Amino acid sequence: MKNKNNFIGIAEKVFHSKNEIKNPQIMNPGREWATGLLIGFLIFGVTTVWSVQTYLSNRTIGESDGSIEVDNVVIYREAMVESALESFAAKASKQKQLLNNTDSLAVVKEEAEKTSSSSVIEIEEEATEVENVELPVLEQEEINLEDDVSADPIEIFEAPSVD
Amino acid sequence: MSKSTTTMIIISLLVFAITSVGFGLMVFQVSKQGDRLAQQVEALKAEREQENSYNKLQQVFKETKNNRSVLTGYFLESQGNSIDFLNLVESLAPVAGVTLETDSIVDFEDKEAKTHWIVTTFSFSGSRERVQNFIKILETVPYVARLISTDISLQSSSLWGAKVTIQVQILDYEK
Repeated sequence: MKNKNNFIGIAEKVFHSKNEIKNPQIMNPGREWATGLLIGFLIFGVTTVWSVQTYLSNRTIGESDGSIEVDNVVIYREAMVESALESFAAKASKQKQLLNNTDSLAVVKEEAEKTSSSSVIEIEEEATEVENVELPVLEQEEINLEDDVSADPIEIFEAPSVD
Repeated sequence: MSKSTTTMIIISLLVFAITSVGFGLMVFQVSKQGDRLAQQVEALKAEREQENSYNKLQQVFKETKNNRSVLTGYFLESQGNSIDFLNLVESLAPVAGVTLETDSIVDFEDKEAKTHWIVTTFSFSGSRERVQNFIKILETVPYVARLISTDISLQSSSLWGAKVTIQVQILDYEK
């Protein structure tokens, strides 16, 4: 059985010890609580950071951002097709107009042929009229000449001699 | 250290190890399944894009059917269809008031442009106005065609003759 002095010595060591590191085996509630809480917060913090990082990296995984390239993309150039169809429609209308002009060309040709034939007839008529006009003049001249010859003889004039 | 303390330490270390291993396995599985899920989502996204593209193409196909059929009609589908072009020109000649003859039909391939053509030479005669008018009509045939050469000459006092070479494109593309 230990005496009273031994217990006092132990109690002094426990409560009045200046250098507590010399007694590591003695529990310090504050220290133990701080250590435990620190470890807890560290685990919680690391887990939180990892969770946030995973969420942010996979947040837009289901959205379609057009980054996927589809094979065999078909492009339909509607503007080109429309302009081609318009040009062909213009060609068709021009062809129709040209074919209609063919009829007018035929009418103009017939009129040209008619005018050329009528001008030939007029020239022939004028020619016949000219011939008819000339004949009576000639006959009158012949008649006058015959009268002149029978009326007066031709007078002969002698040139004067030069001495 | 007392025996009970040592026992407590050993038990706590064992529990800590077991829970650490369990936690590590869970993290690994979560990561692995997450990668697998990401791959499947990407595959689904690609399939959805393909489906959208197909639906759009089908819609465009339906809406443009008339225009495309009209446009296809302006090409010769093959060399055998050149008879349609010849019949058309021969039917236009009497309407235009000219006498037409087909001189030659030749196949031509433009290797630079990778196109196929049929080269046809026509000779026709008539009055000067009608010959000129028919040349203009040949420029407006409803085919993808181009006049290569035109030669007009006076054959008699009022009769003019012309020799025209036309190229008509054959619809030819990689199928």
